Amino acid sequence: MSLAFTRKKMRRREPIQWSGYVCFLPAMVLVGVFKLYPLASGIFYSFTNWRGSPNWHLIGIANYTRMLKDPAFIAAMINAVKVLITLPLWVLIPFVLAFLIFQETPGWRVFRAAFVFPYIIAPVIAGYIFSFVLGLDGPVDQLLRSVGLDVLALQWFGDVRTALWALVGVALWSYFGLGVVIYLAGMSNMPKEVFEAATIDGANWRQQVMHIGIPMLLPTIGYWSVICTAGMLIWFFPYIYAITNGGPGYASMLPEYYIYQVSTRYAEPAYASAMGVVLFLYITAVSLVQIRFMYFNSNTGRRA
Amino acid sequence: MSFVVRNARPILVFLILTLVAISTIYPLFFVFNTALKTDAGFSADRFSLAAPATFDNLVLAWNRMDLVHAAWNSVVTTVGGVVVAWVVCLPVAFAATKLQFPGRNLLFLLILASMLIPIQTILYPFYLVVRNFHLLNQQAGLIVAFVTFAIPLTTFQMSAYLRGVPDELVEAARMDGASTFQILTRIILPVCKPVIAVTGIINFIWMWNDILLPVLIMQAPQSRTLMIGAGLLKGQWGSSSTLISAGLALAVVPVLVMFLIAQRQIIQGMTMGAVK
Repeated sequence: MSLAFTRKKMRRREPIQWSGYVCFLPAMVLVGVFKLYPLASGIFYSFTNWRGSPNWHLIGIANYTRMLKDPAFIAAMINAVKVLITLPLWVLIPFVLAFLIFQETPGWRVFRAAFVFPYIIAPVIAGYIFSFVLGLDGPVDQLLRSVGLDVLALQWFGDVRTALWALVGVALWSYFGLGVVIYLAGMSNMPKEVFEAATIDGANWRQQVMHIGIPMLLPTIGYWSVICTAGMLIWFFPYIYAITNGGPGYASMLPEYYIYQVSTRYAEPAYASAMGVVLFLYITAVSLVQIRFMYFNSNTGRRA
Repeated sequence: MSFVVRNARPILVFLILTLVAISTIYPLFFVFNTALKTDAGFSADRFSLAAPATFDNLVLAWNRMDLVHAAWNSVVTTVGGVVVAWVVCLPVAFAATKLQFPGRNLLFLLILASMLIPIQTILYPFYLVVRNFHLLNQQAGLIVAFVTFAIPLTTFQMSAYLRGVPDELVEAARMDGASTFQILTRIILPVCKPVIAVTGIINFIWMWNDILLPVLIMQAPQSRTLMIGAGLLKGQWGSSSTLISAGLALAVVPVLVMFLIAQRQIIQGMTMGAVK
């Protein structure tokens, strides 16, 4: 609504309020100096072989072609795809839980609070907690053994087969509450009468979800899907940092952590910058959808 | 019979929700319980309640983690980040929604679009800029970084709120001869209290919890934050689970308090724009 509305107002030839620029100034300086300039210089470095010494020259797209041959980067990208494939879980689990809460189950406020709880726990700390809980002979393994599932009593983060999925589990644990809250905000806009009428007409719970709930919530589902799709490539750093360091081997390596390793441990800023540019392009493509949503639909804030 | 059928679904729903709620609460409970146990008590039975509880681990963790230093760094940078983010973002939201000047929408879009540049995409170049400003290992450096990355969401949340504030309020003040600065501080600021609370709490939580910006900027031992300290726990104390748990428990307390007193604002903030 904002754009059309304000344009009409501007045409009334009100005096220009120059103080507006002053209001923007501090934020623009920070964004310019600490985001736009680094982005621009990162793009520039990505075409050089700079390693911190004054001895460097332009090398074209060599850093980009190098990625295609770098086993660690390839592993990280394949893992990123694997993580992205779990998107349906990220979309569905919060949806179902939100719907169950929305039915005004007794004590729903308590449940909502409990679901939000992991979101406020520092990811690093959540990571450590789960390296306990899912560690060798941790509570989960003991539980599995006690019910006779010894085969599943694994070293979840230390096993090549499970490390990445265990990380996804921890991240999902942290973020599903955000999804629940966003869905609930969307659901609070749905008129209750529709469901009451459907109940009177004999529609069962599944029918109500499929034929009323999902169609009405499509914008919210889309919004949350976009957040997750972008988030999955920038939410995992603390978990990898606290639990697996990308290992065993490259089993739980993701692009964002590999960029960190190449920047800090291997001290190859040019190569790391090139990978940063690739990540930026991905996030931009996904998030443009989200920015559109936020810019044209600023009234989401009042839904809660 | 019909009673059972009629009540089966709500009971099932209640059971599912309860199970999920246990999975969200139990891990932290496990940590606090472990922190209050003796090593012997922990290896005898991990799951039993810590009785009698011991506070030795907490005291030891406090002393060994150099917690006073780390906690101080965390408090200063988090509180500083929250306050400076308010000061930087409220004028932007105000100007974007209540003032008329050429290029306004474009500038506002640019601010929101800076969300497309999370730290991971500019890691090394960003580090270089911070270093060139001599802000490495400085609390001010981390504050500046926090604020920069808070700008898109905080500005968005504030402007979403201000859209709902009638323009007449500002126009009336202008008729009375108030300057823009006066309108901002005397009219807008008091009206915005709710959204100031929400953005402050949301920023407090992520700034307190953040690890990547602190790891990048605050590497020197004396400038570590609590989260960096928590990240180093494993290496330092080998396998003393009770001691590590004590360290984690201490680092999580401030946010836990925030959760208990400001749950409504947290949930509100989570629905407003939702991403950092």
